[in-house]
Amino acid sequence: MNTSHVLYAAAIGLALPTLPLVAQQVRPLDPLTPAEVELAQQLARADSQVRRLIGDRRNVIGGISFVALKLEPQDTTAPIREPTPVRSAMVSFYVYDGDFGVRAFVDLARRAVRSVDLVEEQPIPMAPEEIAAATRLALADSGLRKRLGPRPEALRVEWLGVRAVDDKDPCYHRRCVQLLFRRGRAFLTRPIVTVDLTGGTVRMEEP
Amino acid sequence: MKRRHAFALVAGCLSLTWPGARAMSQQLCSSPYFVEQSFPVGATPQTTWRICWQTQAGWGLMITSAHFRKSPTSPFMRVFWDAYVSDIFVPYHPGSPRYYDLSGFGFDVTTVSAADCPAATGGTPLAGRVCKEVRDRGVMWKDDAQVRRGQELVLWAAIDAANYNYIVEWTFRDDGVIIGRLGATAVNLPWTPLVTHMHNAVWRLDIDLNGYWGDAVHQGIHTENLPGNSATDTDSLIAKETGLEWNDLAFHSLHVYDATLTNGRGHPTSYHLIPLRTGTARHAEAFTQKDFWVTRYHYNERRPTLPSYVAIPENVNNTDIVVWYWGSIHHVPRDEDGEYVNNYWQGEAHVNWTGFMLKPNNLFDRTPFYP
Repeated sequence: MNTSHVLYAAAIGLALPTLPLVAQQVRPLDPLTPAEVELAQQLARADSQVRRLIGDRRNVIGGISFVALKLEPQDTTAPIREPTPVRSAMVSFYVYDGDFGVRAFVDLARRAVRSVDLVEEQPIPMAPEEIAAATRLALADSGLRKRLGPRPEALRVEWLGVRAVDDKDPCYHRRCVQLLFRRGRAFLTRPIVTVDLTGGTVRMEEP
Repeated sequence: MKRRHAFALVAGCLSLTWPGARAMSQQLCSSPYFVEQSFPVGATPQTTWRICWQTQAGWGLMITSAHFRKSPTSPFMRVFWDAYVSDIFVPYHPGSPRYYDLSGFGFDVTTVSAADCPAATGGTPLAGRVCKEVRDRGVMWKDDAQVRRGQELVLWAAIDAANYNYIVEWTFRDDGVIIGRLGATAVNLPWTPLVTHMHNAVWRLDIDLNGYWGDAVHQGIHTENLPGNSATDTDSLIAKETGLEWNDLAFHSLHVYDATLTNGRGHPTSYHLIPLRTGTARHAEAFTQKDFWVTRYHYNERRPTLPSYVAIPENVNNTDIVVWYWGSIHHVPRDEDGEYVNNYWQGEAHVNWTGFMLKPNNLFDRTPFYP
């Protein structure tokens, strides 16, 4: 599957003159700086292909990660042994309405979105704000609070995403997260708490 | 074409590329992400590794470049453009749940301290997230009374995956060998702590032997010519993108060559990918039907939706290739993993491992570390 929609959206770099330039002292394979993360997010959100795929649908950025791209062979006139790493960021959106992802590769030095992919076969990571929302929803559920015992806020909450493959599963094509509650080193074994972030509901099951 | 011209113009105007980027064997990353280690430690250096690493949420510990120098007078040779665990797929025996512990969650690495990484055993915590260990690796070779012990550089970090921790470990040995391993540890799934499951690790290895271009992959196959007594080994070119099975009876391995790289004897140099595994899992998911995958480099192919990458097979001979390998940890819970205490589960499953070795072949001209 080599069907990326390559967009050389160089003009976007000129359309965002107020953004800070990428720090020149950063070496090619250093982690993304906070300014680069911000730049990548803004460039991706402003990209026309991203906007067309997401539209007005509810969405969240599930992750922004560093990528050192190589110039691909079609971009070179003669093979070279050591291409310059193209310092880039991969921005992954999750779109609730439709249950799909959109992934943009942002060339940070050139301040341009290099390509945009529609992601349907792969999960998109959960954003921290989604986990916070799931925790809030769960702890607001009076039935669950009774099950958790005294001072439920004192429990440490861990979480697992759900990717349902059975169309009878209530989480099929929904953004669901399961919460685990921990007291010290020990984990509560029941109930299984599933938060449907698409619908904003909490479900409890016995294992 | 017009778009490309416009792009080049803008890029030229901005001109923000790092000035030292052309010297690829120079330092590509800053401290503490840059690790240079020569062997033997504390003596005249013979071999040297230069590594860049990063940790990222959803990816764990990534090697973002690796170069090896086989002697003080040799140039540094690139081995990895990058290398990382692409995903960890965890299906439970009843059929569900089926977790994608990296791509689905975005889990980050947890902290390491002096307790994880004691100086007394060669450890140095890096950025509070990675342990660097430089240590003895046991006997390198022995011939009666003569013996040589080896050394290695190990970088590891632990992904905090809710109840589980995954240890992502990269070992770079003095003799040019690389070992990648994944270890699963911590607390069994609290709702079903006694249910057997698999932790399947998929590695994406962008091997750029001696530079990114001109690489090819061969499959090594061993055959016992039964009912006779002879045996043969073949080394067959993989011309197109594909998935391949690992057959333990045939000692299957992948051999990555560079078109022009030879040692001083004129013999082609390669790196052999050798599984370190205890079994082979075949799940319903299509990418689990093969054990090795060979693809042409495309920067947007980063997670293991492998059948789609090879659906229209491209040429992988004398080009820029990526090798994917996956191995399984078959976790059968035991009493040593933990116990129920009232409505809670507590206890820690000790580390279970799977991994692979990348072993150089005809890189040195003669036995390294030999008098």
